Amino acid sequence: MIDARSYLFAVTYIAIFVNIAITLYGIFVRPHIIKKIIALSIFGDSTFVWAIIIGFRKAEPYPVIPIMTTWEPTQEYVVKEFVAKAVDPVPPALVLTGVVIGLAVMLFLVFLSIQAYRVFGTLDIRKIIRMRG
Amino acid sequence: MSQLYELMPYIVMAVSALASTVAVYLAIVERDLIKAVLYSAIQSTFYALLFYLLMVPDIVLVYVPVSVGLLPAVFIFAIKKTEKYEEVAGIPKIASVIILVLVTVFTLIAGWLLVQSHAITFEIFPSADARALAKWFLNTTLASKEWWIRTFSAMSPEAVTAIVWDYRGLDTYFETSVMYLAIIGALAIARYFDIPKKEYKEESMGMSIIGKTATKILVPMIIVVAISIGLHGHLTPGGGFQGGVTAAVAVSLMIFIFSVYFAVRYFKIYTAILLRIIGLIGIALAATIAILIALATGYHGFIFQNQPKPIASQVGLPYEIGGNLISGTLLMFNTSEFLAVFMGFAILFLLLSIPEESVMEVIRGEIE
Repeated sequence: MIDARSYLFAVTYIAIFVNIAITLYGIFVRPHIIKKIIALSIFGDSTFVWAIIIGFRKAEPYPVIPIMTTWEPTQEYVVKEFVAKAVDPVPPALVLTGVVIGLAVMLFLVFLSIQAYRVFGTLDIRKIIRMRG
Repeated sequence: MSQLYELMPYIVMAVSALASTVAVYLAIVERDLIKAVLYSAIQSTFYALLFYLLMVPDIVLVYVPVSVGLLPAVFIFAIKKTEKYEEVAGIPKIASVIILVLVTVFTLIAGWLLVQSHAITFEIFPSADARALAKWFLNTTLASKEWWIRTFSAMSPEAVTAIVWDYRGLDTYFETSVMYLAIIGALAIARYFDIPKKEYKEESMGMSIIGKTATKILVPMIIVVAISIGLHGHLTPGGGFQGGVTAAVAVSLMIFIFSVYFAVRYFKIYTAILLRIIGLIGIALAATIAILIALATGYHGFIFQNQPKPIASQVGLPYEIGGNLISGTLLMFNTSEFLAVFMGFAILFLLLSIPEESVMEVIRGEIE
């Protein structure tokens, strides 16, 4: 028998995929550059959620955070309990830097688009293309 | 009843994922760009809830300031300076339908491949087993007494910070340099712009007295919380990245609620660049400190070495000082990264808030 948790988790998983599809549609079809950047940032966040979902695991009753709650070099059984229950710490470590660097890159893109507005007087990508060609 | 209680986290997870889908749809179809930014902030709030339920508090701490606080602020800045509405008339119907179909096919293939690769399986949704690499990191992050585990340990109870700055330290070093390049690019675009010299006037600038008084109370509290998050990064959820972006919220609040002329009293652009360089030098120093000690004492040492390795290298930093766990270089890395991230975003916000009239003067002068 399939656990009810599996259904709920599958709903989460599919919802993230729908988000990715919608944002890719926004990046390709919507003409305004700021709207494209908003869609791009949501796309990045969705892939981050996806990476975190891969690191999740099943534990009874619920997994714990990958952070020990004791200070000193510990006894064997504490470590064993921790390793048996904690979620994967590698995806958070990747996503952590990804979020901050994503913000810096988004800021740089916003800078570029403001500069484009100063030069071209519009941010509609169709009008800018027509100007160039 | 107790069964329902155990299911509760998963129910909240599914509901917030569906709600985020609604918010994403509204953000993409909305013509008013300010509203689109607000919808994307709502989506970010639901994602933060998802991250919390997926048991990664580090990401919650970095995601809430970035995606709910800073990114909408930046977008609203940009929209205020450019256009408020998106012109959607004249998008060809057939092309958009074709792109929609292609995108759907792409996501279905990507999702199917992920299920096929057994990264996610539907029958028992997440497997109870962790990957071997994850088990290795969890086992060695805070070492027990065996010397061979001590050889690989980072001596920090926080597995995520240990991976970020010890096990995979070189990756983080290069990611920091990507951020450095983004900030250099922004500085290069704004190379001739400067904040005009004007006195800040309490009555005529910024928002109402209520907002100003609340901000005066909030800003010191935000800075204190940020420093606490940054300095406890090796013990609790948090670290340099999280503390840095939290402190950057204080700068954006000062610019938004008061004005840029108030903010430059505390953060001049060149001072911020100087402090950021100090932070980056701190990162480079922490990365090479073991090798410097080794050169001075005549032993072997490695780049990004943290603890002494019994076989390969005898030098290294102590994991505790006077009974306080400092985890060797991790504290140094977190402090330097806090300074670098905080000041980097302070620079970007100050450049973004230069009034448009003075920028246009510079650009016209360049063109003529």
